[in-house]
Amino acid sequence: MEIFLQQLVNGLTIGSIYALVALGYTMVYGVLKLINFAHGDLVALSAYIGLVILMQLAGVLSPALLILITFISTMVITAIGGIVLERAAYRPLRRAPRLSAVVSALGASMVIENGIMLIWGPMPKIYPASVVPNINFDLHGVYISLMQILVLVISLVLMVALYLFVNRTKLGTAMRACAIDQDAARLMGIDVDKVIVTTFVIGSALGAVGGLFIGMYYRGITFNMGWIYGLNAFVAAIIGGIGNIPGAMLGGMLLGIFNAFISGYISSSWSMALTYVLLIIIMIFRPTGILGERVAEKV
Amino acid sequence: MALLELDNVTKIFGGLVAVDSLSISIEKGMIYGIIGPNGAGKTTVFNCITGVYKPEKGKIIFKGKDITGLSPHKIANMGITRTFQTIRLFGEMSVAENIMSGRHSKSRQKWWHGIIHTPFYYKDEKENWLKVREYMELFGLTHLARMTAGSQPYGIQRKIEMARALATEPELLILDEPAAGLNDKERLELLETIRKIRGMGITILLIEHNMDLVMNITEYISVLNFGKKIAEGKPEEIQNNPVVIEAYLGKEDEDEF
Amino acid sequence: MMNTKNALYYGIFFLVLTVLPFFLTSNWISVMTTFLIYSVVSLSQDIVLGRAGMFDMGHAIFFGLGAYSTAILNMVYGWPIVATIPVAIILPIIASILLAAPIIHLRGDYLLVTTIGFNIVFTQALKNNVFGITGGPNGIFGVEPLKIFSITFASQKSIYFLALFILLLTLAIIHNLETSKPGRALHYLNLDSLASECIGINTRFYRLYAFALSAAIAGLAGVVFTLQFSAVSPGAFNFIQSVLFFTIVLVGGPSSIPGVLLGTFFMFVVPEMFRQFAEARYLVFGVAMILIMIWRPKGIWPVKFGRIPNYITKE
Repeated sequence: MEIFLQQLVNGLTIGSIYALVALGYTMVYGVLKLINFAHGDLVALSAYIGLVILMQLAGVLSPALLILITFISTMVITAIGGIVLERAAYRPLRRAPRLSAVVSALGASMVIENGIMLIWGPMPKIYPASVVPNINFDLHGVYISLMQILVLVISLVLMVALYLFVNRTKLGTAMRACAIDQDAARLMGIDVDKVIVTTFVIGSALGAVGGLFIGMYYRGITFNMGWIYGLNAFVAAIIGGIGNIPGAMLGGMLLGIFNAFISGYISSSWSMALTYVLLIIIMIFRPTGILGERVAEKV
Repeated sequence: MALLELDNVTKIFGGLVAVDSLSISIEKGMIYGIIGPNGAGKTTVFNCITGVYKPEKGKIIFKGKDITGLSPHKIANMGITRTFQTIRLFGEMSVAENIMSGRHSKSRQKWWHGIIHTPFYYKDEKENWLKVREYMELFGLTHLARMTAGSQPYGIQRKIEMARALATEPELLILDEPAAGLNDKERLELLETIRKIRGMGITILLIEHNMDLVMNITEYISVLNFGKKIAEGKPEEIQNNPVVIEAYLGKEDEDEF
Repeated sequence: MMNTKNALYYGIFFLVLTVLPFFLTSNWISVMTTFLIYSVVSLSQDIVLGRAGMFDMGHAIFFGLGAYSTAILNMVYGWPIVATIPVAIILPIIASILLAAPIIHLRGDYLLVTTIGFNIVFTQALKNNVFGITGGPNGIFGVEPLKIFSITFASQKSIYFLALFILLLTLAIIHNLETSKPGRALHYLNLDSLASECIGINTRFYRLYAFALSAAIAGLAGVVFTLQFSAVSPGAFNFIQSVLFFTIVLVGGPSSIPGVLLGTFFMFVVPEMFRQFAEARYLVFGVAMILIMIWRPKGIWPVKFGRIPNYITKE
């Protein structure tokens, strides 16, 4: 039972990170119907940027302030990265065949990945050990670290904020309108470009939080980790039903827990394969994900 | 025996009854019309007949065989072909290739002819392209053979779609609002074409909003409203049927037809 | 219906490829051999992706199955290479049908993700040495050369010409495909699946047909790939490789034979030319991919439809 709960805690932590990254995929997919393959690399980039900021400011600021400043500035810089990505690689292709945009996304992913490697080199970088004080709480044999609490709490707050933004604000409503029918939204006077940019800003900023968590929680970061985390997060988005925001959160959590149990009970050398077996099974039996909607073709 | 028979066909979309126990019977060689206000369920009937939708209840009998719930390609291969309300051509391909697609079920090439060309392949290929030539001539499309179908004007696209449907050599041709978007001249041409098709021994079932056309060409009409058949009969009977007039003109905010 | 102009172009193309190895260093012969093999795989990927319009991002599976079939049957069971070839074609066909059948109805992006999933499971299985025959992460070394009668394909040049022969064979098959009923059916169902069904095309059958045919060709390419390196390893068939084949088709021009060949050249040979720039080249390459898609969204050499026989427009 203790192992079970321990893996559950670990799974929820990883799952929160997946969910944060998955939101970026799902939001862009919702609005543009495009798999933003560069998103994972943007997340990796944010982990590097965060590390630079941390190293610059370490010792100058108190730990709490250091973390706050690092998060905010990394989110801002990554969001700008998202805007540039949209401008350069996606906007010129908005009327092109869908697959052209996929190739452009793959190209952008290569640019970011290799850009990171050129700047920071091919060897892994290590986050400092005690950005978040290494405190563990013992709950009847189940350990939960301060870092894990931080991940869970911040993720939860951000997700609730996003949910409120999408469902309660004018811009959020515009976003949902664009997801359903972009042309109709434009005719209703919605500034579609603005909505798309907002989507990239929010998705990238959330991804940046995910990237920072990866750095702080796992500590080792590599230039090509965007693919692995990106793919897992993307699978999470699909499992939940791509384009569906609560779906991405749910998918992320489920995938995190699933991964943790596989690593805990079976073997980590099969964990990635089993993740995809899960994906394939869900695709076969529920092709639009758990919370996804069926779209009927009008004849 | 009727060529096509619908027996109490019912189609429900999430609680909404789109077609409500509809029974119609179409004799071989006739031009049969289905009319009704917007949203009456006409296209849904077509989708049930052609296998796009599976009806919840009822039976569809074609040439004495139950075809209810069969997949569209099976139904097409049995001799029912349709056109679409919103034209659905293979837009990037040429006009000739579009019509050639209609030859798919009549061509007797097997899967291995996609890998190895046998003498039979050359014979079959030529036969079918010559058929395409025939249908292009019938619709006056020969000079457009190499042009991209999607970039043709609307009226031409309707012709291509009809030529493609005819190229399957159907026994029953289903036309979903064939006159939609056509100008007067094109509409007259269409009347001519439909008569010509009937002259080839093909039974025609059509949905149309244009009353002139329907009254002019069909021999028998069923009127649908809210998925139910409210009247049937010869065009002149329908024209004077008070129930029909009410369905169409009863409410003041209804569109003109 | 290949017209004389096209026949001339293909003639020149093959002439150049035939004399090329006599002017190249051994390193470049190796690059060009791989180019030929990748061209075959990309052309087979194009059958599924370009022609039938299914977003298959796991094509390296079939390539790898062919390569591993030959390596395993030769090294573990001692079969001569010739005898492994039919297996290396049939096994990918069976796998493609088994994998594709349950997912073939999925909408574009879902299919893409599922095929990525298959590919990841496939390479992880190879790495984990399933059934103890795949050799784990290092793969299998020391595969024998191909012997047909008394000819042994051991030298670099002989394998180059073997690859060239396979490419020629593939081009012949694809030419036959695109001028036949099954080949046209793929285009129809790609452009409008419902309209295709309603004129009598069994879209499900032809989708599986596309997968099976392309898997067979990719499997055959896998055999030559194994022979080129006398070895196989999981890394050559991971999903990044699938991404490469996928991209080649789209950058070159889906459904366009010259497009796919150009795409392979651009995506595989050109980076080799800029090897001295080591790390920076892929960055530039990513930029180039974006720019090509912006300038030529339908690929460098887009497909042209309308190749119809002349006799149907003449009196």
